Amino acid sequence: VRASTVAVVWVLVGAALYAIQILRRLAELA
Amino acid sequence: LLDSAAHVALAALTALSWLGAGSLVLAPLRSSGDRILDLLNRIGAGALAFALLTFAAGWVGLLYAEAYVPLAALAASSGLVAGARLLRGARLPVDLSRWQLVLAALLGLYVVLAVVATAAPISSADALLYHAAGPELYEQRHRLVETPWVWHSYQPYTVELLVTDGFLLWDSVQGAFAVLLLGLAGLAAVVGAAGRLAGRAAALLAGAVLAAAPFALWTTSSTFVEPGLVLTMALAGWNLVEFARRGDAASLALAGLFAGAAAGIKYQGALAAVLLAAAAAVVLRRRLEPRTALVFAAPAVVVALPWYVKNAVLTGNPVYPFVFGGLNPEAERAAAESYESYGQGESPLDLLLLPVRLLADADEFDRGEFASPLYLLFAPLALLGAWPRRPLVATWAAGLVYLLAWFFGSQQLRFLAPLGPAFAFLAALGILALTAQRRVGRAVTVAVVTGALATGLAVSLIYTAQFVPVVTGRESEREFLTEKTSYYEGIDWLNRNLPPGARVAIGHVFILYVDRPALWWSSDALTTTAGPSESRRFFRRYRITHAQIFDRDVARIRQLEYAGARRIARVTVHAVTSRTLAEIGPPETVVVYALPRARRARPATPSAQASGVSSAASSRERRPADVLNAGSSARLCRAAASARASPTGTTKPFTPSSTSSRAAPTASVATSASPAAAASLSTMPQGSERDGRTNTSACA
Repeated sequence: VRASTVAVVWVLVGAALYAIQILRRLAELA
Repeated sequence: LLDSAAHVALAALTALSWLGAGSLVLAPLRSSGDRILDLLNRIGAGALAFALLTFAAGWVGLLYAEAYVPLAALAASSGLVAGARLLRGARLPVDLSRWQLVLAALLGLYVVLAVVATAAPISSADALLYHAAGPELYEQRHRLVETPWVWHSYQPYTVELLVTDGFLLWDSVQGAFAVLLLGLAGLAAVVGAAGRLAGRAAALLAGAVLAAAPFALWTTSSTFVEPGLVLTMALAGWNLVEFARRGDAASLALAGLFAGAAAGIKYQGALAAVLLAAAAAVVLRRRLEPRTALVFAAPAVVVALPWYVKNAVLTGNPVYPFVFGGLNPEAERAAAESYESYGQGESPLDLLLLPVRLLADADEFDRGEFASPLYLLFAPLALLGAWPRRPLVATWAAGLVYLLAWFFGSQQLRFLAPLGPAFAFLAALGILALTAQRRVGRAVTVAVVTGALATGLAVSLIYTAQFVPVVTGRESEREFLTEKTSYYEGIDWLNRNLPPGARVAIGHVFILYVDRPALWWSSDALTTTAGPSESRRFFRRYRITHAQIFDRDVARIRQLEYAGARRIARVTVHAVTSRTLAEIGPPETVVVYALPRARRARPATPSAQASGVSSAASSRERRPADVLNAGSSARLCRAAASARASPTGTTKPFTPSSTSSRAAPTASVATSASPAAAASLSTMPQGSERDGRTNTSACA
């Protein structure tokens, strides 16, 4: 597995986790 | 609006005065050849010079606007000349690409947002308790004043003394602008350093990672000390890089100066400075010799030492109340509870889950959900690029050690501020590295960075919008404070009804806006179990005439009864659970007590005698006479708690201030009074976004 592939996966997973946080927050506000 | 414009103008004058003072202080050093670095070095050194000068003036009782303003004006005029010289012939870059222009505009917008948020009356809890409340007291008394009821005030206080200068110049908001200036200079340092090391794209990206997020906006505009840590760590790092490149002693000395300055801002700054030095020693080990170590360490020690010596003199513990202790057991418990109330635990599993939680569930880290995710997503990817490996690895290693210390200390995200400059730069390198890796890497990077910045901007706009009415004069300060600071209704009652000579003990931490001399009636000041004679001594020592506490605070009510106090009012108050969302807690009641007149008049002087802590005397008495001593209860604890003891350990008097952020509200509250009180207080908001804990931790 290339390092760049791992990096892309890391960023995508991390971004998804962050999106969950933001969406959860929005849901609380709503 | 006019007031806000005047604050901005005076902030510009302050910045020029720092530049002027720094130009003078650094005159013996040769230029680095980099005008931006020279400019920022001078501004940073000038700010430090003013802080230390304020410290000295405060020690001898010379904190007068009549002294400060002419000095600042003189320094500012010299700064104007120095700035004009430095920037002569400088040009703004005109060949930015479109995305670079967008990032530059975004940073410009964040600067505007930060100015608006800073121009509003101070409403963050820690500032109301000590970052601004301490400086206000110093300005009123014209000297440093020891405030043992808030142990945070024993942290190094470089930033708070710059806030004090703001009070001398005008008012509390002017003090807040001093902090904003540090934040803006820190941003400039990160952008400048990243630009020199890795080019314009890295510069703008590093700036965006550092500053373009609601969390960064909040810390920069809330009169906290973290912006000072960002600036000093950024300049220490940049000067170290210059030393690595050119091997000149001046750069090394400047790196030491700013590392020491970080240690003079907050205890964690000392840890960060040591780790920075260790990382540099590893990277530059071939040049490591006694002389280089000395050139770095000497200025560092000189600028940091005053704070630690002050604590040693006053309390016997240079890092009071840590390591060697000093708080009474109840206050210590309250402080510990307060630190531990942040984060999600300290087990190995918690450590393992930390990255995931920081991204997906970070609100327990004190508003961590508003921080930029770009640090964590991209800083590890810096290792993908073709950058020199050793400095990257050393930076990561030092950062991880600091992170571990933070993890096992108080997990408030803002206490990671010293890592901000280096890791914003690493994140920028990571972003560039991934965009260089095939099309998919580029597409993912662009989408994620854009999404994070856009989300952050939306939250930042909502956050800042709440300050616009008061800044533009459409809302009065009183209305604003009622809406944005917890229990202001009670403070307002005191301001309107108490006699001018009143001195008040307050049962919560939001004391800045009490017009009369006030203290936070914490466990540090008096334990809830203190009996009649100790309670009466407390009232006498601080010449308390009135107290305002929660009606459920049975311990304090009992202590007031010991002194024969009578209840004179009940006021309904509310906690503010979210400023931005305008959420308030249920109605609560505070009661106001008046103490019998006979108890009031005794001058509270030298603590030792006044407090009856006879053992303490020692070094305190040798102190300048006018340093107000309040110290005793802390000293009492110390005395009691310590067998530990050096004789100095029992002394604590004076005044300084320090500390930074930690624990306040919950702390004392938790121990004071009834469980109900503790419970409700521990959720009290602080003035800021959501829950109301004040910080507590700070020290790693």
